[in-house]
Amino acid sequence: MSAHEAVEHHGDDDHHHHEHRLRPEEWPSEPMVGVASAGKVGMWWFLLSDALMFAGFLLAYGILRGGSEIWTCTQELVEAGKCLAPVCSDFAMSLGAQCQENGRFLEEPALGINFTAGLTFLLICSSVTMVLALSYCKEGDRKNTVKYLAITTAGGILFLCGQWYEYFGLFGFPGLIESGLAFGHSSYATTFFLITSFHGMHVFSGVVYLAITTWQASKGRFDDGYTSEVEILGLFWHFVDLIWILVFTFIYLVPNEHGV
Amino acid sequence: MSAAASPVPAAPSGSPLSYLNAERGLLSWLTTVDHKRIGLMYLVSTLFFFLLAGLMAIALRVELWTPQGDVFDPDTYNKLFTLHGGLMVFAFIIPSIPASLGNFLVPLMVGAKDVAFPKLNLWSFYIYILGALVLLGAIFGGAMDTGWTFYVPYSTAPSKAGPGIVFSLIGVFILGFSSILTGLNFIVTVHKMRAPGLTWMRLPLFLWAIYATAIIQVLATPVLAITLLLLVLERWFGVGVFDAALGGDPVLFQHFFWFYSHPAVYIMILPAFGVISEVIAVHSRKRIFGYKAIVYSSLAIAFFGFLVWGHHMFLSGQSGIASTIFSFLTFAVAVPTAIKVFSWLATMYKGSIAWTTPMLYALSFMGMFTIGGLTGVFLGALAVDVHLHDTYFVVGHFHYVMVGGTVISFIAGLYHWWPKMGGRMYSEFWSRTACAVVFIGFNLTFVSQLVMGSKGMPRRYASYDSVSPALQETFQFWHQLSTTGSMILGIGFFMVAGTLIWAWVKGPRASGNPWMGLTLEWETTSPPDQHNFAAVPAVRRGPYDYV
Ligand SMILES: [Cu+2]
Repeated sequence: MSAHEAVEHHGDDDHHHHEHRLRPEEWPSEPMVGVASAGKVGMWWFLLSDALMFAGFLLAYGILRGGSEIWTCTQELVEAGKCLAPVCSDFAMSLGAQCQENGRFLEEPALGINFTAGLTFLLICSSVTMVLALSYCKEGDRKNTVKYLAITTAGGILFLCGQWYEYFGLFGFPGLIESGLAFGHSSYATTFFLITSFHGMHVFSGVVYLAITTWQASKGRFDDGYTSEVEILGLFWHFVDLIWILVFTFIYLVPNEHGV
Repeated sequence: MSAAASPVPAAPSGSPLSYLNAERGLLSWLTTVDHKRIGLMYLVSTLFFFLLAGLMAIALRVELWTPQGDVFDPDTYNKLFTLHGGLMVFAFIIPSIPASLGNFLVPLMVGAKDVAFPKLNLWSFYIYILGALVLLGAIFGGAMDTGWTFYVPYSTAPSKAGPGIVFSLIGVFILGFSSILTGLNFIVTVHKMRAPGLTWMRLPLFLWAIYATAIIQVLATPVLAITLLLLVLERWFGVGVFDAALGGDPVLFQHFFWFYSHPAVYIMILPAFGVISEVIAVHSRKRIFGYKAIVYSSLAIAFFGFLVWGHHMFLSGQSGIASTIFSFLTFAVAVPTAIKVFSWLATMYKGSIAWTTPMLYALSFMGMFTIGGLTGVFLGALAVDVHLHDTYFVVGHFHYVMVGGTVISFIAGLYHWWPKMGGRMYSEFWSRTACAVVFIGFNLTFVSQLVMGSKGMPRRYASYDSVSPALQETFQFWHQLSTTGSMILGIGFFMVAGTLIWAWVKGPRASGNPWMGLTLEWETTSPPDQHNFAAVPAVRRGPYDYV
């Protein structure tokens, strides 16, 4: 009687926990969450909470953008003299941002959609490899589990490299900051850096989380068929991907009406 | 939960090991993952901040004794009421019932050994301590002078307060994560750790209340977190998110802030409802009236609580249609709340009521919370709000809810579960006396504020000597009444503390089940064993099935 064992487990000592981890199907079934493990239920609620953070950020972005007359000071707008008072904070200037030249405001670069679309594709692929890793893990195939977890980790690292390139440039190619988009330069710049870096922090946490799990898998931690921890990792990783698709859509894809 | 029908005979002193003495030494407390000890540590620390913020309130009341600003200069006064509000809301009331009583009781009530994530629970505690200390430590950075709501542009404009504002914001930001993690832990505990037979519809109402609260904590607090984060960035880096001068939107701040802070009112009051449901059912020895109605009204409050934030912004340039909708939804929240009050009254009807201290607090809760709720309906009415906005009527209203509602029921809960927590009984006589003093002091303090607010006394002023002499005289009369009341209230709280401390140290030993309650926490010893239950309890009936 599985429910009974699980309950005993709760009342039992701590060390018991490490020797025999309960399989998800051994958790007492519950009308609302079924046999999902405590960790899984916890992760779901954490993700809901996290989703509201992103919702807040994206909402702030939407309201600021919707309420602004000019969002991106493109070259045309600057030349037409329409970008009269973009804000350039002291902080932005201390970072070396060029906001003015000969009394004229400099244009802000548009976001590179093609490159970021590539990053998006990369992240989606890493979700696929995550799914594969979990299914191999459930089959008890340690070698392939480790392989696909490692590929997923690599996908995350590549994404972070891409984001680094986008911000700071790489191999002599200029990044957005160098091209005139500095944090604090305008609402456009601020919300862009805030939201994408907040997502980037999630990718970074995900990469660390993935790396630890990969290492654990290689040590045979999931060989006993207890795959819930990999599943929970997967939830987090898919969430990070899903959020990125929203961020990509709202920040990059929404066309700039005053723009080109 | 059938075992203990008659109280277990009192254990002799020098009793067997309990969670209090199973491990010894300060370190065993600081590194504990036992939910009961963590609950007690929360209790001590939240009450410490309650004391601090309460003393600040007394100082504010002293300033208002005369119309002139003679005790503090206006800057200090601004900082004092800001810190009073900030500490009370974020370091005391929000964690008060959930983090202290909740931590102690949730695993006991579900019949488990601990919460779902015990280590995370300890982390939450330290995050709480860190956040509260940063918030308090902001005094050394010049403190904050914006009011606890951090309204833009007060919080973005250059200010004499200096870095104090940023530190306060960071303090509250950190406190928010403690709240999220505690809520997360409780949700999972209620889902996954329930003893066999403890179905959802057999859950004690306290658990339902904590569960509904936890949902709000987990879903609303992140929005506060990003709001504060944006504000910090705005102050530090001058980015334009909320500051109109930088291309931002100050009303956006209000939307974000109240999207959290209105639901936060329910983080503060829902656990109080839970306590009151337990106390009234147990001390009336009657099956709770309308169990399901109370359950669903808790969930309804948690849901509707997210849809009414705009009632704080009737005068912030919100569109008339939006205000009308928010006003209507605000009235709608009154319905599930009233359902609870009627259910409690109906529970008492023909019950065998014991006039114990917890019951007396529950009764004063019902009166005072009802005043708090009804004055809220006044404020939710659009035209009336124009007159009452930012007056002492608002101050009186939310103190009736926060103190008359939450603090009073917190005390009710403390007396009710004190024998369980410390294993000793309090003195009924002195505790009842303290209850009477609190009741008188509280009402004197805040009825006066309702009256002077309706006469036009604005909130957050250090002096009121610029109005006509006649009005000055009126205001002073009510202010002096309120200040007198606050002193009495303060004495009352010290008496409460005295009775509880006396009980903890010297009170007569309590049995495992002194109130003959039917919920699981009464099935174990008082104080409980380190592991809560000798064997996993089996539940075969509802929590209030008195025969
Ligand atoms: Cu409200």
